[in-house]
Amino acid sequence: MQERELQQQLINRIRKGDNDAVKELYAMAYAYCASFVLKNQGTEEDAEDLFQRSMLIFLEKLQDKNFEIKYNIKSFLYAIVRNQWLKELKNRHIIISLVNEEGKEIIILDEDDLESEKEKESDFQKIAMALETVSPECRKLIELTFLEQKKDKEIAPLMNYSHEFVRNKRSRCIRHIKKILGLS
Amino acid sequence: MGNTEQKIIAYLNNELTRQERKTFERQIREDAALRQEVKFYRSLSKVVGWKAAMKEAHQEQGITAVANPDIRPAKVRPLGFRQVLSLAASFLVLAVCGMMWFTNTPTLTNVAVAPNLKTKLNLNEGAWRSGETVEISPLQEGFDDIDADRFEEAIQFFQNITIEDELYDDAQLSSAYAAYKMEKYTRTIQYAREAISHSDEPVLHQKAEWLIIKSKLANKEQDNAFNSLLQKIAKQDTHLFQNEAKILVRDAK
Repeated sequence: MQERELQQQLINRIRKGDNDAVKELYAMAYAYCASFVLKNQGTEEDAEDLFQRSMLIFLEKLQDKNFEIKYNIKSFLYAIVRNQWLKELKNRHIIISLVNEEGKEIIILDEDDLESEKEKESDFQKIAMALETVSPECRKLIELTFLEQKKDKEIAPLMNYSHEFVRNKRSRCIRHIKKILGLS
Repeated sequence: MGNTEQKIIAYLNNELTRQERKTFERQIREDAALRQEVKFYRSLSKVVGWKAAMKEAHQEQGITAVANPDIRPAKVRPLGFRQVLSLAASFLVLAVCGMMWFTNTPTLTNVAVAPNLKTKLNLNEGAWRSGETVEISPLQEGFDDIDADRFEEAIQFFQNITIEDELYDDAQLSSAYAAYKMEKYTRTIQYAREAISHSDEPVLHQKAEWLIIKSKLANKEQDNAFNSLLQKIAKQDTHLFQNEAKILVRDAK
């Protein structure tokens, strides 16, 4: 199968909500993209953080059914990581000359491609950041609800809560997230 | 908000009946504020899924490849005598376990495993509905992919069947089976639940229920929901998988 077809299949799966496809994309592109950060004054933590932020930008773009990827996904993600890291270095007041881009297909993102990046913190990024601020119990409760799709009566024994408390606690957790997002 | 929140979560997690779903979707279309709420919960659900997937991928991938992006062959040390012995012991244990797997001794993990499952699910029947026969099912392309072990392609085919299509529930069930074959148990459960929520056909329900039981078993999720579903199947005389469920119940005691 052609690489382009495989790429399109991966995109279709991501659009349908298949998180295994997200994992595949991550595994496929991480080392390639992270090497840019690592070789340009970044730590492993920076690389992981930057790559995950860039993935969110990319995943959000994919939610737009009209968005067509004109490039190789890996190169596209690399370009986002590159832009994000250059911005980050600027924020940290670090000036560097870029190294180690031999063999990489460097694409320059145009205005359309950069649209969600320009917004700086898109909805998905904001939600991701708000999720970081909730307690570990809230995060677990939210994961059990949305990721594992467990019902309240299944969650209750797992968290040592009463059935009723699961609802109340989750409502409070979500209210907190909304407050951070300025939605309440 | 409490009730609306419950409803939205049930909607997103495919827990509503077909009728409830239709009514709720009509409300969403008519109520802009509700539409915004659903959008927020859907986004939250997506981000939670993506973050978990990325975290998992990162852990699976290991950090060393990143710390050393230059590709260098790892140093290989010859195995010592003790390591050779322990490897041999591991192979022996694996071989014994493998033989036990293929014997028919029913245990909680190997009862009614794959070889009989497909026959009983009757994927190539062409139609899931009793009494209904078609010569070539419109889902045949997906079944062919399953036969050729191209499970991901099969799922992709089945998932292209839209909700308006009368074969939507069959396609979801077939997706569940393909996901089960790939050992993607969370997806199996998701598709099986989707099939159940869009079908009134008892036989399809029974097949989907058994896939849920098998997936929860593989995932070691023998929780209350698992137990009550298993008990229900074991007690239902007309259930396709009653015997298998009875064996599981007996062995669990």
